[in-house]
Amino acid sequence: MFDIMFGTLFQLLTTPYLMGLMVIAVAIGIFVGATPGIGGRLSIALVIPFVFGMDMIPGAIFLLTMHAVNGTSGQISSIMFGIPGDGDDAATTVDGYPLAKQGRAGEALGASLVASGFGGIIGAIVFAVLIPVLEPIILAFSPAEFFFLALLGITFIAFLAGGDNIFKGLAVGFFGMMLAFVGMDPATGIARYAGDNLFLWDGLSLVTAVLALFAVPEMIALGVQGGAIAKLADENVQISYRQVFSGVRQMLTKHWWLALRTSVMGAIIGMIPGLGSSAAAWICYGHAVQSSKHPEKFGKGAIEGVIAPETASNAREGGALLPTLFFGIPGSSGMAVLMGAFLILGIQPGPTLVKEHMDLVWMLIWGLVVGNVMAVTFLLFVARWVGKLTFVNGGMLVPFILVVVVIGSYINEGQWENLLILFCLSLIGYALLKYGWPRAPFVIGIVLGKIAEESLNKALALWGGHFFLRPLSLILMGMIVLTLGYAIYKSRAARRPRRAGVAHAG
Amino acid sequence: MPAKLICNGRILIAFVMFSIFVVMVGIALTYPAQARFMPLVVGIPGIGLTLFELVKEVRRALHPETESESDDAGSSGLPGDISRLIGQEAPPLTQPDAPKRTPAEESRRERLLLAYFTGLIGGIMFFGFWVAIPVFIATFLREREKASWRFALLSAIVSDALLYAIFTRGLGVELHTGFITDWVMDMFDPGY
Repeated sequence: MFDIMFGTLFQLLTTPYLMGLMVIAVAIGIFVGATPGIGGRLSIALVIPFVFGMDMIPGAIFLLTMHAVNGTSGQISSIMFGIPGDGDDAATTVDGYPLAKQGRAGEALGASLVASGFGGIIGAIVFAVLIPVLEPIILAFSPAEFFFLALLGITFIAFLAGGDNIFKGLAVGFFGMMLAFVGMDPATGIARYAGDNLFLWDGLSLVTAVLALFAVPEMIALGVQGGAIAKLADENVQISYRQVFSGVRQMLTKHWWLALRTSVMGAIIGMIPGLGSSAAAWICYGHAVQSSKHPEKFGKGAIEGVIAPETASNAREGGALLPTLFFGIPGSSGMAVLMGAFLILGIQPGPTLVKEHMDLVWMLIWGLVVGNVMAVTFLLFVARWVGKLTFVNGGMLVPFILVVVVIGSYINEGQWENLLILFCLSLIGYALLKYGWPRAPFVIGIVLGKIAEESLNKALALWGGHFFLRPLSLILMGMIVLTLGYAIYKSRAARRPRRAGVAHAG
Repeated sequence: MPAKLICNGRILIAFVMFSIFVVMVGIALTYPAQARFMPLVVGIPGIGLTLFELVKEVRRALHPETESESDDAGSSGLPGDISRLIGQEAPPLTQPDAPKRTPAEESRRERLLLAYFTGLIGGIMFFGFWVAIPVFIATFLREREKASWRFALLSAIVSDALLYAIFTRGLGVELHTGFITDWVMDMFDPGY
């Protein structure tokens, strides 16, 4: 194990090609993280065409590094201008912006950037520590359990949608699964939903589906909204390197224990699919308030108020990678798109990864660590300029991104018919976005649909109709029922006060 | 009232999703037992779920006073409201300086964006990447974003150059040249 662990680190650090890819990934990650309208999910979907054809390890490292660092740069505008680069950064704004208004923006940036990197590294370590614990569990899974895991994955990700949306989430997940059945059925040789269209016999292009459901709707929405996030820079925000390194020092000497606690909490929250991306940041912010000797300072410019959410947000990525890689259940919607991209690279989540590709798993863990160190080091020096990206007019980016999307969809299989599929699915994707139907379950559905069917066929062949009576299968079925039950309970509980309010008003 | 229901986007998307499941289940019924098993296992609950959503949306449209709009609202993102954030994705980014627009204006902008996207897809299919992409970029930047002609044309030229450098030279991909372009080129040069 130590051979693989340190061998992969050595390989990563001494391969110029991999390091070069990481530098590019860090640069793109920082750019998309700070630019309005391009979130983590969208950025992964957009670069899929460029990693298509890459080897498994370089492609996966490139994607994961980019995904891991694009949250880091979003915090800059939260602190400097009080404008969260992403929803996750909202917690950082609460204390970050008051600090900036007090003339301590550099201090806040230094502390929060190092906290981000620290969180990312601790998240990767938590993941690494849990590998030996989880290995026997993963290897004990049979096709029957993988069938239920696929269903659990869709249930969990539908749960991500929260409240009443779980039914919409499930419907969208099932829609993704139905599209996964397009193409030649491996058991009977029947071309399902393909008719005479030969290009559909190999199945629907995953790249096209992901781009259509995520990238195009976001771009149309951005184009409709138009404008930049902010129009005027706050000229009062002054940043000196002295301040920045004072923040770094504070984080590493005075608040390291808080950072460690919130990092571990963030990583654990990341492992639980369905907790959502904002939860980690806010829960850890709440923990910082509760555990502080001076809770009254929070909201007015407490440095702990930027450290806690940033460590948690970045540590979450390491945690979320664990269920994604080992169980095929993404911990977040961003991870769902990343998982789709991994499948395109030929990475099959589950026991195969543990048995045959532990080198890849370690490479990804080191990728998280090295990527975070690179991003933080770079940002400590250029943060003040990266913050200016907030003023980029999102509308100007729309045509360029749409062009990348269309090319990505085409070059994936070199079939013009994919453009028609892109168009039709994009219309559905935009309608889903506009009317509040969650889209992340779609990726899970289309990715897990095939796995579920293959697993079910194998389970039926091995154990007949009694496959669901296996102990692990029963546990997984119980988890599905509990998840659904809790979601229904939550939805009813949320509706009760509203109804009561309406009745009272009436 | 029926016209109002048909024009309701929420009902329309629920109906589209319901129809997709019905059609796919219907087609699955024509397959042999083993091939139709999974599509039916997934499709029939899908019909149930989308029918439930459809009924819910119709009820909401008919009785707006009892069915709250807050079903789809994201979390507020307030620190004191942490419990509500469990199970929620990040709230959508709001643009404080985004101009306030009327629904009609929003709808017009939306239709325009969709028309641009349709034009891009259609343009590529009929005229190919080399023609459609620079035309799309220049038109979009000039007409939609009110960029200067110089910037719009420069962006179009640079995009085509990058397209050639990255995809044709770098990745060796042969991009679709378009049905009409092929036909025209074939008229002038039969060996094209």
